[in-house]
Amino acid sequence: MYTFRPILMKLVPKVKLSTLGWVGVGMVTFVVFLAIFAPLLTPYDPTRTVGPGFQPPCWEHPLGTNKIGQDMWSRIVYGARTIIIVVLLSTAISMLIGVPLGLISGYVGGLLDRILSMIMDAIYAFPSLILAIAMAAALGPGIINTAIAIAIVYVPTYFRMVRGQTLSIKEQLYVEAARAIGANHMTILVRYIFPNVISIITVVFTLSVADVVLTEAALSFFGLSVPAPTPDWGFDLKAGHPYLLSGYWWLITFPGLMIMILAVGFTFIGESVAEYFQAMEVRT
Amino acid sequence: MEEILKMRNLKAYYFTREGVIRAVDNVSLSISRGELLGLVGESGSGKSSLGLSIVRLIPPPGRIVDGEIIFRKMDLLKLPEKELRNIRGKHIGMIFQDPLTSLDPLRKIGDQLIETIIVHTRVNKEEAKEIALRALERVGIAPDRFDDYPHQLSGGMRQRVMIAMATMLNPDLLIADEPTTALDVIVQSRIMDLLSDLKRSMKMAILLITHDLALVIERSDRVAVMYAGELCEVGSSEKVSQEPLHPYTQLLLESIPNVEKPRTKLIYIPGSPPDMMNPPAGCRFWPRCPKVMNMCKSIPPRPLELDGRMVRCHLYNGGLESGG
Amino acid sequence: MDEILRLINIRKWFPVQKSFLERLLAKEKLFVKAVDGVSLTVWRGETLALVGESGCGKTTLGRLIVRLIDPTSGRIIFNGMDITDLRGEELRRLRRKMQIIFQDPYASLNPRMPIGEQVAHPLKIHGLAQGSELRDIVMKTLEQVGLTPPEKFYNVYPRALSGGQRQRVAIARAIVLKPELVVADEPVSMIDVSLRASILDLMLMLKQEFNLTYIFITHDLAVARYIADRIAVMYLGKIVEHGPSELVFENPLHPYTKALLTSIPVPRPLKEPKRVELKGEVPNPINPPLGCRFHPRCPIAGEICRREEPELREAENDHYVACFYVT
Repeated sequence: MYTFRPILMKLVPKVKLSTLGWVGVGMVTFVVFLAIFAPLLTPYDPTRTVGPGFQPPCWEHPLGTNKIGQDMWSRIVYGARTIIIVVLLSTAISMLIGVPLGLISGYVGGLLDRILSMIMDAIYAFPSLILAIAMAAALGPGIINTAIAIAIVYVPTYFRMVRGQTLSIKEQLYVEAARAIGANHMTILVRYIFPNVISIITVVFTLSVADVVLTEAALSFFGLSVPAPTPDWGFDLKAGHPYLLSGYWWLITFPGLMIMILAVGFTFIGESVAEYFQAMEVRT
Repeated sequence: MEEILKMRNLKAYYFTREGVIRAVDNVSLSISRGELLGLVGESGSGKSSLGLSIVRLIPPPGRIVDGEIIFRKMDLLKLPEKELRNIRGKHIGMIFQDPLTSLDPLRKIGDQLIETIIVHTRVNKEEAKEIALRALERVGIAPDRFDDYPHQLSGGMRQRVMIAMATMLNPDLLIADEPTTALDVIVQSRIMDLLSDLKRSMKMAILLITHDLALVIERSDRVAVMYAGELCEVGSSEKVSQEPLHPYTQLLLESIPNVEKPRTKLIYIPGSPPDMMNPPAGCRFWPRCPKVMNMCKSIPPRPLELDGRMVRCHLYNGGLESGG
Repeated sequence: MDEILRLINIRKWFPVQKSFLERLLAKEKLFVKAVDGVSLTVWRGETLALVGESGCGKTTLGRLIVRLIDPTSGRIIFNGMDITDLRGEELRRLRRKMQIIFQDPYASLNPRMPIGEQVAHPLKIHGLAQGSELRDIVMKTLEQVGLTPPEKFYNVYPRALSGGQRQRVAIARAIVLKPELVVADEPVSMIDVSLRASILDLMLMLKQEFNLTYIFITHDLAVARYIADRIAVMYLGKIVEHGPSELVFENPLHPYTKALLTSIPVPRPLKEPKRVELKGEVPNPINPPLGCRFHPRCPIAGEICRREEPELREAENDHYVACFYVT
């Protein structure tokens, strides 16, 4: 009877998605698919010149080539890798900092809570893009640095939501019941409060991840993300935009389309997940 | 006695995403002028849905599917919404468990009373105030409370204000859904005294909806017992309490501790109320019934008229003596 | 008789939350006097019912006894030991001996913990069992509280259970540590009427089995009469009458007890109801009336009740009452 469920499976709450949510899942899966199977899907090295420049879409280069003759299809597919890695990494960092701090701040309260909240509010008060640009500029280019720069922007979002939820869960009767059976603070936090904030973390994650995509694209548009030959949608967008008037439409259409697919896909999922949890709350 | 309200084969279902909940299923019931009818049932039995259905206030995804509700010779189910709105509050008063949810916290109670009167009648403000003051006096609230806000009153007083508001236009019928559940016994007893007075002095019909069988038996003229969306027994509270017919009523009576009888062995009903999405076939009570017979599991019992009361149970198919 | 718990003049005053401006302007601090001087002895193996209306302080008293909140003053003696000031590790060890069952089974169970784990957790916390032994104990306990077959419930989450089943889980969680004293705070008031009796009988059965002592908090006098050996009636933070169940119910002495008893609806009454009417409602516990707290509502109050506060005294064998006019 003892069913074994891996710990990770336990952490991911079961969610029923709406149709729109499933459309979002499809869009995101498409991008993730490209990222995972990139070497199998691309005939060319995305960082090399493989043909004449400014070639419109044709049989050999389905999405054309750019100024220096790199294959756009290969760049798009490998660009999916870059953005997915940055998104996952930065989200993981934001969670690893924001969630524990939010839990502790909300549970302990008092002076610690006031200081942490003040710091987080200060970060939150900055316009997010400007903060990300400043952080990226200070840290320098590179995938890890970009992820850290973006992560810092989203730490306060996780912190505030988790702290708020912790404050209300702390007052629940089952937390008092945990005290009555003799649980210490650590046990109460880990076994009684944390499992009950997972749903809010999921909501924050799915709602903010679209934002993260756009922030990454913006950073690379400003040349503050990954260094030059690495395939990256935002970078290609920037590289292609001066030639729009020359009629080289494919240079910006496809990177732009990809950014949109990923961001809109995540938004659909986020809305659907948030809606689901709201409905759950109403029911219980 | 004159029947003021008559429901026939009323069905109110909730159409949820997961399935259909038959909250009120084929209920026929009537109330006469000057009668206090107690509708008793457990949570989820459909008793509150029944109360709301009478005034067509059943919330979505709930809907009245079938049946008729005759009130003063009108079928409330066929009435346009506008006319119905006039009936609610004027001819049918309603009070609920938590008076705070029905009172506007930001306005003085007197103003709220006056507004209700003006909406429903053609009187001017002075006359309305007079009516309101008289109604408050009748429920035992001093006139100097007229300008109080709801939060300044105690729970019992708020419920009195609600009763005043529900009865000030002399309705023919008062629907009281768990009016005393949030209150303490001493206050409950006084509120019930007040309802009995209103019933007598104003010849009002009162439908008292509650889970408290002891309260219903002590206070009402007739009792209707509801189980899983159906009425299983209706009769005078004397007969129902002295000689309950339906096994559910019998068990329910044996399962409540009696303050006058210490340590009498309580009998309890095995199992739990059915899942209303998939109620059992046949009689809805059979999985918990100690007197279950084979036919109960497949054939739904039909309401039987016996000894001046109604019972829905196969035990009495051959008359009163056949049961036991 | 063997004493298990003694309360000596216990008080719990909650400060009234006020805004910054009010704090500046107010001269004195205001307190809600939830429990205001309760002394009581509980004997090993008995069931003591604490009865009273909402706001009388019975729930606060229950939480004080199991040390979930700290008293403002007074002492709590458990098994001959003063536990009023226990902290940290010592307090956690005390929890093995005294447990509490809460009123609301929909709120008292962690929604994200399977039933088996909920019951196993107390044992894990106190390092009392592990592995297959732990599992066996949990299974047996689930069976004892009537959640059978236990395998069916072990991996299920609370949302799949009815209120009655949830309360059984809460009871299992409380008794799995084999405590000596269990405080049950209105354990059946949120349970469906048809299931209440079965929970009450379960509690009586477990009491036999584990030699438990119950402090049973309830507003329902019929339930109190069914389950309790002794009754203590509370009004506005104080005990106004206590004694053996039979004496209190058959011969209530305090006018408040009389009013309570005559107000309960009785199905199939044996005697004609002679209702004792009370004026008004329970006053605000921030400023309880001077003298006897009950005097503004009391039908027999005299001059002395306005000035002096009556002490509990023995009116008949083991039957105590706090009233000047009871002889």
